Amino acid sequence: MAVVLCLTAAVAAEAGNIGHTVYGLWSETYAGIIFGDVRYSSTTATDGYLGAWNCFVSTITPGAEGQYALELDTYGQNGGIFMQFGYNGTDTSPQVPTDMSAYAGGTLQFMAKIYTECGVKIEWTGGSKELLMNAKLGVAMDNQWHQVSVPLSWFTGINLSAITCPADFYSQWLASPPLTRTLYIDNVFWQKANPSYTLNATIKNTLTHAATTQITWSNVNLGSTKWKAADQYIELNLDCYMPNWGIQIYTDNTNTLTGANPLYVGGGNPAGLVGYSTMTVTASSQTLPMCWRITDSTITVPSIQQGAPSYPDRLWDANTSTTTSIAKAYPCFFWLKDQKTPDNPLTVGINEAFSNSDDYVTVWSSGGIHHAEGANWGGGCYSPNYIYLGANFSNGLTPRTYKTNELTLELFND
Amino acid sequence: MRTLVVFLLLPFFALPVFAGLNVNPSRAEIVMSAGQSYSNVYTITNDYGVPITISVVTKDWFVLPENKSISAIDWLQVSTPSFHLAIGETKELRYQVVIPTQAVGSLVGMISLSPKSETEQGVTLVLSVPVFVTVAGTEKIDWDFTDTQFSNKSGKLQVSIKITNAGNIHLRPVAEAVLFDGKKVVGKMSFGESRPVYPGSYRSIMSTMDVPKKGTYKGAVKIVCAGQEKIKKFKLKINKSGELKITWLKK
Repeated sequence: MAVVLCLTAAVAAEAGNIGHTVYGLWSETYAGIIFGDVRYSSTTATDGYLGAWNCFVSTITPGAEGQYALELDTYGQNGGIFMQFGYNGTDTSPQVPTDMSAYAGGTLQFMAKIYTECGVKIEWTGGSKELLMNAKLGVAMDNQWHQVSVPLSWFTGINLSAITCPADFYSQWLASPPLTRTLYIDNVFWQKANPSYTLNATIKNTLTHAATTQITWSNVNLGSTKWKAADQYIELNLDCYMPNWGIQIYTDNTNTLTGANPLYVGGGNPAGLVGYSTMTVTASSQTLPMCWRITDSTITVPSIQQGAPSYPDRLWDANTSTTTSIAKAYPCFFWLKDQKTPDNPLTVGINEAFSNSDDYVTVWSSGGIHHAEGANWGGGCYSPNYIYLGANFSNGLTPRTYKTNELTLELFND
Repeated sequence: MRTLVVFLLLPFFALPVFAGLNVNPSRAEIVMSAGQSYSNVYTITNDYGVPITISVVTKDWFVLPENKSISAIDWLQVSTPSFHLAIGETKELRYQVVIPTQAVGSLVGMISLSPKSETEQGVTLVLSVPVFVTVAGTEKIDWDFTDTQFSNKSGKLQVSIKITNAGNIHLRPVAEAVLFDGKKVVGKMSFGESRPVYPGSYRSIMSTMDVPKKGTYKGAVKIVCAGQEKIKKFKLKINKSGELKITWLKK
């Protein structure tokens, strides 16, 4: 029987995943963290290929994980069905070996639903290894979803430095009826042996995007300049394999253990920039409020505004839209809190006190970036994302220096 | 006269910084009676490319009002306040939990690791791993889900469920929403493992699927928390414009 290439679909297998803790092939759960969203139409080599032989490949919903799963159906011929990630069989260039050495000791994980014997295979330059799902991996042929985790070492002889197809799926070859075969798979990824958590923060100049060492504000008049964006932003890169992670942002200006300098000693809200007299560098009780915003792409210097009808404390960016009313309705800036920010007794029914993992202080989580006040999460899950900071100088005194060495980004799992 | 130019220094790391830490496990969940103690380790590996010194502190993450006199520094101790890791080196950080006799419900603390390289200094980046304790025999389980919202977001049916925790232990809800056309399942949304819903608070969880074609569907939202299952059924009507009308059914 001839091998027939009947469909070339797409798959999210980004080269950029290499070196991260998870290498995604077909998954939605972790799409927002490490690797791309499931892509159905891309045919670029960068994104990888999905090749199918003697079968149709389609996406079905609901998936076992997330919204979509892959369904492989034979179209009526004897024999097996075969699908592979990484090669579509028509590319004129040879399969490009990928160095996956960082995954030594790791696993190939996927979900499968089968009712006849099927197999999984990994290919590398000069070799390959197949494992039968039922006979070797113990997957029941009961047409129910099962989670499968296969140590990469079980693919005997695997050359991790030259992987050409990180996962193939097939039904066992039979020359006689039943003619139909169906295989369902979902949530396919490689995982390192010991996933680590990496958070990179780089300060960059807003205009030039050049890396720099500190965040500053220029052309500010203490006592008159209102909200003003900093001249720099923070680029965040995250590599994280935990289900319930988040990153919260705050100052900790009263923390003597970590050496807060200047140290806030007042009885109010320690959040933001702490001012001290240049004549007497001592503990201070005066602060200037700060705010933050996170975006999934770099933006022009924000024009931070405060106040909208019924929302006097709302912070928004006049650059967000040319229509002011729309801009005001998009409260994309958040007031920066301190670990010791207290509740404001004047705002009845609202508790402004700092609370760990509270949505208000969380810039980015497994739900996406927190792009505006309220339950506005999503998008921008890929690294990098960008934090823009602002400060309000209208209550600044002269001569004073305002600074903090306690701006904290905390990656947590809860 | 224009006054001075403010200079504000937030001394961050100058270059890509950081926390290539490998920490296992990612979470500790302990169920014990008041007065008992427990000890275990987090294993930490330096996966950066430079040697680092890690400062370690324990801190409160969530404090139940009934436990306000109890601090994490009292019930959660670590074996060292700081330690050094060479490139690629792994060490065990031992922690001990001693449940105060007066504790009830949940105790939630964090072991916070703040790595500093020897060549750079600056922003405080922190990696925190949790220790959750449920004080056995004192649990009060009281939760519900309300304010479930259905919306059509550009062709995606988005379901948002608000889970309220009036009990005294943290909850990890597992949720699922299913949509039926007759007996046929036309859509199923799994919400995955959410972040915890702490006592006295709520958390909204969300999932999406493609908006089904015009029609009237029946459905159910099922949530399991702390071993309790609750199901609410609904009828969803979708018109040709994709507008949604939801009616909750009594049974």
